[in-house]
Amino acid sequence: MDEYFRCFLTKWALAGVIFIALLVALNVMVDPYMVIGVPRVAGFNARKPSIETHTYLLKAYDVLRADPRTVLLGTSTVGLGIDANDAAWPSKDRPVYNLSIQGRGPYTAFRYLQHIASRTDLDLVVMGLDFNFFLDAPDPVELGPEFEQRLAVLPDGQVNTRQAWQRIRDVLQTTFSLDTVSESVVTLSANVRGESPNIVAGNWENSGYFRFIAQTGGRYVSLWDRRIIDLYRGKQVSPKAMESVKAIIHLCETRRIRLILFISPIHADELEVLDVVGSWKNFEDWKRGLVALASERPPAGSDVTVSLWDFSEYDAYSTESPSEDATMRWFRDSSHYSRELGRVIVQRILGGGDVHFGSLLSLETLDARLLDIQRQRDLYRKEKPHESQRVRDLYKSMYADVQ
Amino acid sequence: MAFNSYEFIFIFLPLTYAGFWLLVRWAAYTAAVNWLILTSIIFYAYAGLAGLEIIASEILFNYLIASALVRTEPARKRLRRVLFVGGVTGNVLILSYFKYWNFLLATANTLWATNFNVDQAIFPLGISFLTFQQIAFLADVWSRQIPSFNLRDHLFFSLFFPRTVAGPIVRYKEIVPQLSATAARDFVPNFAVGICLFSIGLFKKTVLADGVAQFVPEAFNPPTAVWLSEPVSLLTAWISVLAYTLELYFDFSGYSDMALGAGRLFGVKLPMNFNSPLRAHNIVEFWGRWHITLTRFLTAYVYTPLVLHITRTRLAKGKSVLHGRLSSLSAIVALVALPTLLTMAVSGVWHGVGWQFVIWGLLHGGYLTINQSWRLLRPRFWPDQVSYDRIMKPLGAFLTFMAVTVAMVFFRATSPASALSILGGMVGVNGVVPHLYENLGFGLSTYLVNLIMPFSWVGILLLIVMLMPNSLELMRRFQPASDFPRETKGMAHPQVIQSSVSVASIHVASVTAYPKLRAALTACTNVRTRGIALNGPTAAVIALTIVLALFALSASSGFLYFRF
Repeated sequence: MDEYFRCFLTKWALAGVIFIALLVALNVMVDPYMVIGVPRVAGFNARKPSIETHTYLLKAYDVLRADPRTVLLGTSTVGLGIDANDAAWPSKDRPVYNLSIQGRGPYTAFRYLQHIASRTDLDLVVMGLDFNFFLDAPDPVELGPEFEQRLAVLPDGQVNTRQAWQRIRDVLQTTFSLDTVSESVVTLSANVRGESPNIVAGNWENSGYFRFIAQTGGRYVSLWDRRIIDLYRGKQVSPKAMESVKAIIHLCETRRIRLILFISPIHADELEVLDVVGSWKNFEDWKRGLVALASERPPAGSDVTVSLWDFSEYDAYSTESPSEDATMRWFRDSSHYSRELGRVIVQRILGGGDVHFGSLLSLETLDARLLDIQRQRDLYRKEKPHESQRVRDLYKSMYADVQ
Repeated sequence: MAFNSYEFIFIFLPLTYAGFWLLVRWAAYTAAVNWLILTSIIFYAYAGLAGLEIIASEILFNYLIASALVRTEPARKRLRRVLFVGGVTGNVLILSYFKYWNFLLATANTLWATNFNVDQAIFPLGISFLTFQQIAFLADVWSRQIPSFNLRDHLFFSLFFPRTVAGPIVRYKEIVPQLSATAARDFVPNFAVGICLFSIGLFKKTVLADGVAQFVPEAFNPPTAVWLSEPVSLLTAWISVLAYTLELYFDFSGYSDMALGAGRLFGVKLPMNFNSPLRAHNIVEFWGRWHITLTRFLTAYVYTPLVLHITRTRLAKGKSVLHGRLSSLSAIVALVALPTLLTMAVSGVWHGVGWQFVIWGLLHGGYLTINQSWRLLRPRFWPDQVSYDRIMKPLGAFLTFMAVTVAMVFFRATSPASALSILGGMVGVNGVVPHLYENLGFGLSTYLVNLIMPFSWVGILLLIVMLMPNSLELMRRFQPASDFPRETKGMAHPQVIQSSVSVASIHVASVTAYPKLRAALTACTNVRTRGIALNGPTAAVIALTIVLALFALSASSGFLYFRF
């Protein structure tokens, strides 16, 4: 009788080993999360659609392989809007890597900067600053302990001794995982089709989000307006987020890395929302805080300059109205600017481009700049009263108790 | 320590098994049992030492009461009764404190604006199951069905880890007599059968239950942000509710299989706890298939004593009792409705803390009352059994499924108000297409395209539930559970198997036009009645299930029944 069961168990064990080998081989060869670092072969595994869902995992490993001289920090606005391969980047600052993490605030940016700065000599850091990620956001709790353990250094700059263990965990968890099997199949399919979201030099290419916006024929933009009303309403600037910016500045100064900060351009709709929900003063105070941080004297011996640009204004770009097919050239929604406007930003912060776009902020120029934007606002409301009124009506429709 | 955790599967279970194997082979069997008790204590301690202290105190309390009952002479009925009632009361108080104290304080805070701290009591793992098991143990000692016992057997009965956290609620006589070196030395057969059951269970949990769970929050945990919030629409509500029904089904079914499998590795056959309940033709049969050991406990220790007491009281007062189809309305109310509603209210309260669980229990009490009353009175209105079965079996199966699904809304909802809102969505009061889709200019067709994935998940799982043999049927030849028959003939639960086979027969009959489908269904029916052989194809399928299940571990969530 035992022989009957022994025979079964032998076949069971053999079949189990074969199935495990097949699934592991699939996950390793496709490497959908780029944890293992298998070479990217066109038509097989070059495209990585998981950029949309696992950015923080992909980029923690991919950025080390890229060995960049320049990194771009920020949120999805930088990920989608700034091109690390833009021709405007000077050759001395290349390769450029887009280290932005969508949906994450300044603390995450700081931690990823620490991660790469501990492993390579950076020349330049460019960081996009989005006001809504400075508003009492619980960054980065949701990423869990793996987020911290995966990075090369601890928040205090000490070497992270758990990183090697986390690397093993990541390799095991993404190799022996049914989710990875599913993602491998999705990746293979995307590569056969030749069209999918992808990561190239850290850029978030061909995003499903932009395709979705296009499908809605612009209707999503008005829904996004509802979202940003909720985002800004009743929120205060988080001191922790400001501390993270300060930490980034300090890190760059001590490592002698040039730092360019820029306040992201937002559509006039969003500027109107800021006023309607009563956050305009918060917005201005936030800018004052950033200027104060950027103007602090660097540590002795450091000759690094920190530049702070402000692109959040009423100008030809941000006051653009949707075309007949409800799309816009410079913006996708009121927060996400297009790659085309991103190119203008890159040119501008590097010293060229449209001189009427944005302004370099300093303690001396700040007040004049804020007054100038207020004047632009008044002019905008005279020229496009319906646009401004539409935002007010939307706010009232969401919060009926608001006068 | 959850059965679907790396530490259980790759550390605890192999080490426990290896120690057991070595001790049975090279030392005394009692040493192996002691080893199982020790590892079971470690299993509990892993969840928290505070919980272990409470569990240990409860087990010791029951051991002392039961020992006193055994030592007390049968003639001293009054003392024995005091001991028994005191023991049961003590168990109920322990359970009430750790499970409901926070809820009572929170209710007081709401009703009377008091300011009690609602985090006073911890919730020891598996205390609900342990308490009922201990009450059953005391009852068996009191009725002298257990004439004697020792501390080691009592500890093994109370702590044996495969069943501690979520059942089955076993009786002493089902477990302790199995402690024999002979059964334990059947290493190879026990390992083969145990690993099959464990693999199937783990697959149900990590692949099927956790897979379909992704569609549950749509209705039960919708976005709260003003810009996204909207009432739940028709199809979204149905998909969420069906997804939750299936999640709970495969979650509990998977756990029950894993418990049977883990027990079998050590030569212990646990009783079945789950036997394709969604195939039931009526709600009475449903409760004979879902959480079978809880139903058995509630029937034996709550429902039957209540009915007996009320019957005796009514007879003493000269009132009518049940007389089949001639039963009076007052007798049905007193002897069917009242005890059923009370028993199911206890079941509801046992399952969870919150008014929605009470409503869930009462809802099932209502279903059962209607079902039982109809069973009594039906011959008056529909005497022809053959035509009744032909029409009402399929209709009853559908009605039972719908009734269970509707009740699930209360079981999962965060509050009664939330449950009512979802039920409103299920009957279409919020329309078919979500406002979000309409605002974005998408119509019904786009919405339906986006529902293909959840529809596919729900549809495929429903087919598995309704048509495929369950794990007990698959492993029938090897007696997977202590009370599951090897063959369909002469089995312990003829009604259950009979109906299960008849459902398959109906399916076979209805697809005569499709020979291949008919052949497949016939094969399913054959497997369900005869079980499978442990041959090459079986080995491959079982290997695939365990590999897929292990690969899904990293994303697996906790068992739903662990919180009860």
